[in-house]
Amino acid sequence: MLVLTRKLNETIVIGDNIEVTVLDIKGDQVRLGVSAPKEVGIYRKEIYLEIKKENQQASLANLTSLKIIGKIIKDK
Amino acid sequence: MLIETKHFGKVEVAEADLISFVEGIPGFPNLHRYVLLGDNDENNPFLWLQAVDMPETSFVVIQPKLFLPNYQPRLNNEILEILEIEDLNQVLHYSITVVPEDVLQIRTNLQAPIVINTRNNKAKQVILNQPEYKLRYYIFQELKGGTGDACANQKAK
Repeated sequence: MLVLTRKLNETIVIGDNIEVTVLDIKGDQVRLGVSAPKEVGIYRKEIYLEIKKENQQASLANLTSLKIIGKIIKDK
Repeated sequence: MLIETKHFGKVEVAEADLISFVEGIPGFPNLHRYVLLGDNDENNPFLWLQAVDMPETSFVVIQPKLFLPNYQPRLNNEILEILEIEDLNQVLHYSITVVPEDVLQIRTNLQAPIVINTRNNKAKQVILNQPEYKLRYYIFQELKGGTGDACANQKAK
């Protein structure tokens, strides 16, 4: 991992069109501003990982289970 | 075109019905073409979002508005631009659903719906910034215990 030290309001540039700027530092919290092309997804990592995990779980569903669900709904 | 599917064998689908995920979806970044398949049972509100180029990848999805009529994801301008959305009435939302062995624990992801622009079939799994919409919404429990309104259920807990 590349490690860079930056101060308040300083920026790093990634490639031609991604910039990350330190906007605010308070105690152990850092506010970052990211400017990137709109097609680049920017997420908090823990949320992204949770959604990825949930998608992987979802891909394991089988037809029989879903048929049972269908039947439960129908009987309600 | 004829595609191989996880649950229904070979299925003929029209090119016009292909749904295009430019970025893929989290966990499956290399799959860009999907199709929605039903099982021809009109009582079953669930559909399968089947990857066209990977037969074993298929997700159960449902339209949240079927059980939460007020479900209203806020889409920012970047999403509108990426999907070329001009009219919000042409947008459909589906939530990806986990069906565990204990089927009563079925849960669906309201925090990150699949947003489809039906005009051009461009789609994206959008991560919302609306805390009232849960990542794991347990459909049966929520509907039994509440008013059918996600906000109310959230506050009750």
